[in-house]
Amino acid sequence: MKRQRVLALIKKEFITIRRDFSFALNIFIFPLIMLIIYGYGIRFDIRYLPTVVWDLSQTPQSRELVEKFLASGYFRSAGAVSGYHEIEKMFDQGEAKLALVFPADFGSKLARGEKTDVQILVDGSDNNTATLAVGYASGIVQGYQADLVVEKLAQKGIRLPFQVPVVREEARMWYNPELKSIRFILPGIIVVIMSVMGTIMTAMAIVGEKERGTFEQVASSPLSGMEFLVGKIIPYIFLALVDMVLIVAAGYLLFRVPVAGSFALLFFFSLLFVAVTMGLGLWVSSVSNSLQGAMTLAFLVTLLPSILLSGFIFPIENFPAVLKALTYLNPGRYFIEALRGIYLKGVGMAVLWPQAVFLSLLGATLLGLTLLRFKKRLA
Amino acid sequence: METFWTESVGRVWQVVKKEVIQILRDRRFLVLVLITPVIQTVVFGYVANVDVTDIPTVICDLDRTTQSRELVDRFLQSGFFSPIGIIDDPREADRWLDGGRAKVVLVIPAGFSKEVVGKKTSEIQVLVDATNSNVAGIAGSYASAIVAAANVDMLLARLARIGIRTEETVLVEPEVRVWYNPELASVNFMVPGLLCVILMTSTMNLTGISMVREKERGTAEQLSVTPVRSWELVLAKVLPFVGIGFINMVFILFLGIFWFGVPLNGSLGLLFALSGVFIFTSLGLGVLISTLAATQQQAMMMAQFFMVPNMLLSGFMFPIANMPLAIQYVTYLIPLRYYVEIVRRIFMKGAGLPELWNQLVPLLVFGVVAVGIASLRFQKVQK
Repeated sequence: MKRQRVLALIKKEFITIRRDFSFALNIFIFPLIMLIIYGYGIRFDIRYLPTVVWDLSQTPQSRELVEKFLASGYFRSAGAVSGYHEIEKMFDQGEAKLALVFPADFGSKLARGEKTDVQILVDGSDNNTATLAVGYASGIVQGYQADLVVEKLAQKGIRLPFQVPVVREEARMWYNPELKSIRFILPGIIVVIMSVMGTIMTAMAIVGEKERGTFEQVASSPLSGMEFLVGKIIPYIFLALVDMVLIVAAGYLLFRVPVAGSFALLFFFSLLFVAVTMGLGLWVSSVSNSLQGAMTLAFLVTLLPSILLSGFIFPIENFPAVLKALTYLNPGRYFIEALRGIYLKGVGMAVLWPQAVFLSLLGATLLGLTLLRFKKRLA
Repeated sequence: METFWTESVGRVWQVVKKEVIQILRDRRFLVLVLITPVIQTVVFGYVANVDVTDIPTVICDLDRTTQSRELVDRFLQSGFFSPIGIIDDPREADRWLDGGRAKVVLVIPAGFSKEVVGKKTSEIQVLVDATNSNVAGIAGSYASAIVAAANVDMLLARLARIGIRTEETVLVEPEVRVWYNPELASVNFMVPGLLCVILMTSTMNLTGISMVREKERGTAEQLSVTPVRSWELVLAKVLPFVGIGFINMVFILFLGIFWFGVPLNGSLGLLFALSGVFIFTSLGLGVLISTLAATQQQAMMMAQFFMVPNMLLSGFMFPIANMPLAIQYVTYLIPLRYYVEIVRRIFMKGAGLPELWNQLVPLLVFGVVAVGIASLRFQKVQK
């Protein structure tokens, strides 16, 4: 392998990249847009969920409970309605997600100390939001319940000889106290972008030469097969790492998400992961005849595992056994665990060594096998 | 006039035939295009499960009394938390959470029972690994609901101990009813959304690339000297992908309805008709991309660049209602948003055309604008 020839090819590749505006779009703007949308747009906790009230009782009691709902910060008023059909209409139009229905005798029964109920209707089409809403709503009603008991005793002139509430729960959100989704998403974005850069761009670069017929020109040049591959790959390794640094920097500058652990370790894991994605990219390019095919295959083998099967958004614990077992073969899974560990928990090699071992094994196997495949074809 | 149309249809048909032959020849590509959505749907259907149950929980009960055990039982019997370990020292919580084995540590302080039976407010700690803010939020909301319920019971128990009896133990019963999706199943939410995303990818991305291929290979010039008019060419290039889009849709619907048991409450005919409108819009965008890109690689990158905001801001995975207001306005510029809304409403709410026109109109506007700009640009490019 001649260094000179490889360097010349790298230079040529960089010139191609620099000339094409769409590369700049993908390398610099794309990660930033993802970061900004996730950072500002996406929230997992509910806040100010639009709520309508159908109050048949119109009493201080019902108004008090509504007040408690609004004061919690989880719900906001989307108006009053009269009738189920109106609630249905609001739900259908997406203008309300929760409805409180008070029966006509709500206030009077409570005043007499009788049992009554309040209906909480939830638009369940988004199950995640609905689950959270049900949890918070029942908590609020329970709180109101406790207040009622105390209030009634006070009316009878009995002062409680103890403090209420009996138990206070202090929920401590570790590693991410404000439940900011950006902290949870940031490592995921790095994985997705590096997969895209590593696998898709590499595959495109090589299949592109094939399709345009420039592959044969390369074959007739003094460049050997290995030199060609190395020269083609290096620019994308470099760009994938640049993207990693870019996302980390933007995460800090825009959202103040610091790297809790060591940056060197972050870099080390990124290198391991890049090796894996290059292996995948080479494999894709070796089995595809057209750019269209390469693109579809590359998306299938990178985006699906890195978004869905890595724990990026959906927790692996909830997967059925077969898919859970599959995630052990998914490099994205280890990389995301390592990134979260380094980024959010600030842990080091003492905790993350299994991830490093698995990632190295996967990378070495993949890269080894595809290089072998190429060697045969190019020889 | 009549001959004009028959001739035109004939020309379009010839180019469609050529396209179909081209697609059929690359078997690998065809299989990939048809199989990928199936794999995506299956994986998604099983994986996109945010119904958090059995959260791995470590118990640190420093009190070890009947009262503390009762509270622990409340957590464990809720079905949301499942015990994976017991520790005696709260400092050990670090180890469990750092390694990611436990997501929640429940700490009940020594003296808890004394306070519960006595006069003071007792404090328990729920430590949550919030690296996944989604799961953490749900775990937090479960925990606070459990503690709120425990509070009422303990309050009544305290009152009973000092001889005060309230006539009714529970005064207000929350009666929760979940509409449209009573089991709160994730698949019912995800599969209709996924259908939309896949349809957009298979129509917009693939058309964009296929149109540019002709340009890149230089065969576009050959085509321009044939009697085929440019609009006929666009139509013919687009039609096979309409076919692929609909085939993908049938596969996904079949899987969703029969495999995952997602109920379709509305009309299947309406679903297909409105999907036709969306495919029109999506293809328009694809053609538009093809007029902007010089190479297939560029077309692919531009399509992807356009796809990501569509996925994130359409409400497909992340509900628009939870986004900040400014971002909610931005989502009106996302064509996929309207289609996701339409499909979900037909699926879950059994909506008909009268309830959907307010989503349909913006979708059509996007389509007409995209096709309009694309055909203007296309003519220029051809000349």
